[in-house]
This record gives sequence, C-alpha cells and structure tokens, in this order.
Amino acid sequence: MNEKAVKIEDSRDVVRARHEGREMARKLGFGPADQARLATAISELTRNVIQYAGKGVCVITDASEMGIAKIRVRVEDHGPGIADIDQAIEPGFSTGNGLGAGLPGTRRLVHEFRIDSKPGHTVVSIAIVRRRA
Amino acid sequence: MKIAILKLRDILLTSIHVDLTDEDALEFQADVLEMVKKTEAKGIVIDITAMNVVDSFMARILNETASMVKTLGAEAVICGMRPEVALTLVEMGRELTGVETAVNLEQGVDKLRELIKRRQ
Amino acid sequence: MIEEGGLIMEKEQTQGAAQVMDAREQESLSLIELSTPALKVWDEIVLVPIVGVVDTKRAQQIMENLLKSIAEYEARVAILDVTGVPVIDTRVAHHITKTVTAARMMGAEVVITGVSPEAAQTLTKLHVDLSSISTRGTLRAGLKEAFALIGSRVEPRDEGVDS
Repeated sequence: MNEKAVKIEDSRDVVRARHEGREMARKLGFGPADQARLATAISELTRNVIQYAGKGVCVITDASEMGIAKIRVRVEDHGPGIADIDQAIEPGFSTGNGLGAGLPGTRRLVHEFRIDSKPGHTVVSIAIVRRRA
Repeated sequence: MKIAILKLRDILLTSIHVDLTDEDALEFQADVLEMVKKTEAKGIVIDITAMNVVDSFMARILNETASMVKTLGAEAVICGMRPEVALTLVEMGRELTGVETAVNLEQGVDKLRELIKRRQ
Repeated sequence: MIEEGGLIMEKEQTQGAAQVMDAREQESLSLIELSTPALKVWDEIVLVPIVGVVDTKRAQQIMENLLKSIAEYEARVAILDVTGVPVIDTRVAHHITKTVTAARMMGAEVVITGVSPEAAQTLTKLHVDLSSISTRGTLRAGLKEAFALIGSRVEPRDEGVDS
C-alpha cells in the first residue's frame, strides 16, 4: 500500500503535504479538479494543525480498491481539540482570526469527512473517490 | 521565496510561479504595496496562471492585496486563475469578491489600462 | 431448504439488477460526455448548449467543461444555452450561479440564454435570484450581448433595418 507521511511543524510542511496529495491524486488518474480539491483540503487541515496545535502529522494513503481509485488523508494532532464539532463544521464558524472557515469549506471539497476530537487528540480523516473507467 | 515584481512604464507586472508558504504570501503582499508606493505605479497585474492551489488563506491574501492596492490609489487585476482553482474556491464558499480579473496576461493588461483610464 | 433457495434467487436477482444499473450508468456516462460540448463560436466567445435533463452529476460536469473551455480558448464570454433543458429547478439554478461566479474569477462573463417562460416562472416562485446574472431569452440575443461584451458588433451588410 502506498503511503506518505508528512510531519507538520511549520508552514513549509503545509506546502509539502498538499504537494504530496496532489501528486498521488495525479498518479491515480484523478482529474485537475479533484487534484485541486484534495490539495486545497490538505492545505486547510494542515494549516489548522499549525494554528491550533502547533504540530502534528498528515498521512496520505492510496486506499484504492477494485474498480475505484481512492485517497484517504488523515491529519492528526495533540492540540487542545475541538470543543464542539457540530459547531465547528457549521458554515461561518471560526475561532481564530477569521480563518476558521477551513472546516465547513473543506468538507464540501471531499467525498468523505470525519472528525474525532477530544482534548489532547484530534484526527480529521478525509477521502476522495473516483470510479475507474 | 521572493516573487519578482516588474515595472513596465506606469504599471507593474508580477507572476506567482511557485507554491507559496503563508509567510511567502504575506511577504509578497507587503512587497506589492511597497512597489506600488515606491514607483507610483497606476496599477498592477498579478498573474496566477501557475498556481494550482489557492486555499482560503491565499484567497484572502489576493483579495486583501487587491483592495489595499486600490486604497493606495492604484488599480489591480488578477489574471490566469485556473478553472479547477476557481471551482474549488466556489465550492468552499471562498470566492474572490470585488476583484478585477482577466483570463490571461494580455487581457489583464488591457483591463488594467481600461481601469486606469476610467479613474483619470 | 425453501428458504435457502429463496435466498439464492434473491442474490441472483440482486446481481442482475446491479448489472443493469452498471449498463445504464455506462450509457448515461457516455451521454454526459457527448451532450456537453464547448464550442468556440468567435474569438473570445465560447458556447455551451445543454440539451436534456440536468441532474447534479451532469451539472457538475457541464460546469467543469465550461470553465475548462474558458481557459482553453482564453474566452472573455461564455454563453450557456439552456433552450434544451426541460426543467430548471433550484439545484440546477444553484449550479448555474456557482459556474457564473467561478467564470468571473477567471475573468470571463457568462450569458445565460434560452430561459423559457415556464423556467422564469418557476425560478421566481422558488425565490432563485438570477438578477446579478446576464440572461437573454434567445441564443440570438445572447450572441449579440456577447459581442457587445467583447466590444464587437454584428451588423447586416445592407444599411437599414437593424436586426
């Protein structure tokens, strides 16, 4: 199974992570729109890590199965966590200097979206899927 | 990563050709404003043809830069946004608003000239 | 025994149904690709005529196609002709609005043509606001608007009646 792990510690890692995501999407035959969606989603999530938790990790996995191409991305940190997840994915919600539209926006870009968060551990998992011709 | 800003008579041209970190983007914004002021340019065309990711942060920087340039008394045109980038921004609900745009550099310069003429 | 047989049959039926679905999906996939061409009708003008029912998936495809054609042909105006679309509901209208916003960010205007009186009625009743979007009743009027937007004009060769 093809997997890339990118440590998220500063803003250069955000660039690195979204680049890896885009590359994997391209190699698996996703079109430019899906490549951009995935790269953008990774960018939003990893920036959140830096902003709210300081550091974390982004794992990009080729989770393709028979007949479908699929990329799963897991962004994990040990920061304070998201107190109210329902509220955090409401459009318009934001906690830090006007950037917080990240989560609801990101959710609309991907096919799967899941948050598990408690104080000290947050995992956001996303996936994009494409039916193989 | 430093983005070059070129002066061409009374206007400025710049092209973002690399994937910028947040710090790079902020530095770019400061450089643009500094150049507009220093050269007393009447406007600037910012070419983003090479950008294949514009996330909410970068969208905000572009939006802000354009309106800051206006505040300085000059005009700004953003050109070359890729279809997939435009699509992603709309899907995220992060549209650029109130920013002048053009399909390519040539049309961008034409549009800037038009805006400058209108202002005078 | 009977139960077992029943189960097997059910399974077979399900498989059969799945195959039919696949075939239909294939068919609709190729139809999608066939039915949304982007035509360059003039320098800097592209035309996307939509024919047939538009569901969410197809709307997305059309939207991507239209934006791609703007970049490819470096168009300043895209005409989206909906004469052949039987029903324009809120969902389709929403996709149209999104497309227009995306196109504007790319530096192009979108002109919607061929909105039927029924569609206009429905949209207004559904409180869909298309007022910020340039719409024309006919493709002909839309073309004229497109030429105006790129700073050209089409005139009859003979002096006289304005067409």
